[in-house]
Amino acid sequence: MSSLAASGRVERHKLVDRIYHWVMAVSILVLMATAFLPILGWKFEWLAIHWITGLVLTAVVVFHIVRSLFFQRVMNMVPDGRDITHPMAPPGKYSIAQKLYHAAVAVLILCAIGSGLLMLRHIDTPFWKRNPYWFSDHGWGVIYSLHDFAAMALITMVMIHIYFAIRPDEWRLTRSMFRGWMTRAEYADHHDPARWKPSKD
Amino acid sequence: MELFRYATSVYGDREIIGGSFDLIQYFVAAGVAVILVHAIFKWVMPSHNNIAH
Repeated sequence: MSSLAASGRVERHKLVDRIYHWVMAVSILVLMATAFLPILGWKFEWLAIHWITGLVLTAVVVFHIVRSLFFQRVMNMVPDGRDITHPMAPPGKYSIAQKLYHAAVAVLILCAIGSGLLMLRHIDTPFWKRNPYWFSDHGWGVIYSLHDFAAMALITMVMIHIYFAIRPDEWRLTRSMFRGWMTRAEYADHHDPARWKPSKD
Repeated sequence: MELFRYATSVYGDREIIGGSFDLIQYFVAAGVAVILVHAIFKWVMPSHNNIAH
């Protein structure tokens, strides 16, 4: 029996996944600050911080995708039939709302990363010189628009995420992202053991 | 209200250069709206605080 099980706790997030989450969270907040504060009038040298942080975000997202697909049960995060027919029933590891939120954020972040990587060709860095002729003016406009709309939509999503993270009735989930575990009573109260067996994560 | 930012190219064409940052306020408002609706729902319907019960 593991020390977690012996202490009456259920593991929800392994350490590596918590580190991923918090590196991603800091990256997103730095990217949003360096993107939007200059627009709001705070003038500082934001570009280098922005693209370097963007590369950090890209690396951890690639890590997360590989880990999710090959080392975790990816179906934990995919809506299934019971989510549709019984949306208010106790869920598996994640509720239908959490799965849909994750899907929306995944689309937005992949859109921001994809467009951001292309935009790197538009700036000089220590590693390469800018090449603005990769795309036409219109092509660059579309790429920049995708990046801008994804970034602005992420403001909405981050606000919603922080709101749910600080709600007292969701505190068990926030705590599990810090400590990794939830109590066995919380597991029994909020999850369907038939749909989520933590030991088989 | 414009959805996009525009510039004039060297050929005199009006080109899109990105999304309009005037829209930021609407994305913030959308976040506030979702939070308020959920908070009010939870306040009015406290029995739904725990979906397992």
